Amino acid sequence: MRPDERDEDVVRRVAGGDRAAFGILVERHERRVYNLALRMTGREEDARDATQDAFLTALRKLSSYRGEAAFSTWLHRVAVNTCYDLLRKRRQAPLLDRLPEHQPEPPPSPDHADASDLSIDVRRALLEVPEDYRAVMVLHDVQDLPYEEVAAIVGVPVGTVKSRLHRGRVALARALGAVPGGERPGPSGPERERPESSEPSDQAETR
Amino acid sequence: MTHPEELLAGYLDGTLTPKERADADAHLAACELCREEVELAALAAAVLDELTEEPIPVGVTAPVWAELRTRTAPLRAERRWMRLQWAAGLAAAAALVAVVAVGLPRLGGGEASRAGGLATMATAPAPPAGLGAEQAGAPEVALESQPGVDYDAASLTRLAEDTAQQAFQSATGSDTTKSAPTQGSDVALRCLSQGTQGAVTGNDRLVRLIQATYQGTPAYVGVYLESSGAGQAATKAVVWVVAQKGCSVLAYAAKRL
Repeated sequence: MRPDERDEDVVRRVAGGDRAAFGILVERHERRVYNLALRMTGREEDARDATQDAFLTALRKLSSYRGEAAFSTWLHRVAVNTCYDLLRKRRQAPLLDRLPEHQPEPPPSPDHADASDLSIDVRRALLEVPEDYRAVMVLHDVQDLPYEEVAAIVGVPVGTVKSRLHRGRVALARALGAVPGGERPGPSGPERERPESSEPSDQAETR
Repeated sequence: MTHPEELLAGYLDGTLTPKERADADAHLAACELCREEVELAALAAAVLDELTEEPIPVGVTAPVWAELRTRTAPLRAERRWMRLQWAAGLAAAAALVAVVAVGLPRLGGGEASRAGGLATMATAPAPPAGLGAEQAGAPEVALESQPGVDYDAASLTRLAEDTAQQAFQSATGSDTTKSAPTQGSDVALRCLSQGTQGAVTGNDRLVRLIQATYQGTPAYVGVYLESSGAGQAATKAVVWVVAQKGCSVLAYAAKRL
């Protein structure tokens, strides 16, 4: 394998019968896809499932990729749709989903214990943001993709991406318990505490 | 008043043109709601910016690799098998023709169409009889028990690297020491084969079989040398780890030779 081989060239090889070359694409993109799924679903086990499903779907549907967008854009679209599917299933069977697993618990990821309180708070708060806003926010604010690419992934005009981004950010801040004019996090975010409020927040009760 | 939401995201991101920026400023000067929203949005953007990318847990894409390897590695064997099958199908069809010919006068057309169904079944793919037995050179490797040894992603990668290194040094690697299979070998092998669901093929030569723990979970570790076809030189060392209980895949590591 040539490390500088473009994704699109690898895809061509896979389409030409070298299925094993798809492994190169898995190696290149699995971490980003996993992180996208983790922010979208908020749960590690769902992120694992979504990542697997996304790559298996991508492999199955690779012939429908015509190269009109970058492969990573196409793959992200597959991944976002996989997350939507998974979230929909989770909504339909919220209880069944939480029954004890018949599979042994997978080994925890090594860095998991390091996850700061902040990131756990954010993970939870993200789930309170409508999915369409959340997807745009994760792609742009977490994965640093430009508006145009987010638009191509999600399949909406750039203007829609921008307004969803704004609404999503506002919703996330509210879910984190922020109030306008209230305390703001310093530049070193991780030490941030939830703003003190005299009455318990709505989110705390509904959770 | 309409609120220029499309501008407010770019306002924070600093991506507005001077004209857009002036429009946004003018609106914000007059709209308290949007000022508050921008303040909240800035907070959220800062928080999201702090999120770091997490490492992907080991083995998440193992089923994808399994899928790739089941469909690619045994191609040659598969083709040979399909030819055999085709021949077998012909023989079966011939036999059916004989059955149908005998049965027809008594049973009529309905049975003939069922016989057609049977003929289809006879040519439908089935696992080649030889493949399971020859899989991964199964019986020649003894189960190494490593009590107290706990593997993790890093030590697993080292195991794959060491195996690759040794295989490379012994060039063909055809003359490895063969130890007698132990009672546990069978159980461990069956568990590995069940867990990896066909990812380990007849072209993969088992070189070590280890009983240890993986991040605390009792596990079987199978170390294989993978080649692109039967009888060809190994190209990759592959390590699969399955849970002793349930046989699900816990981890996977590989190193090219």
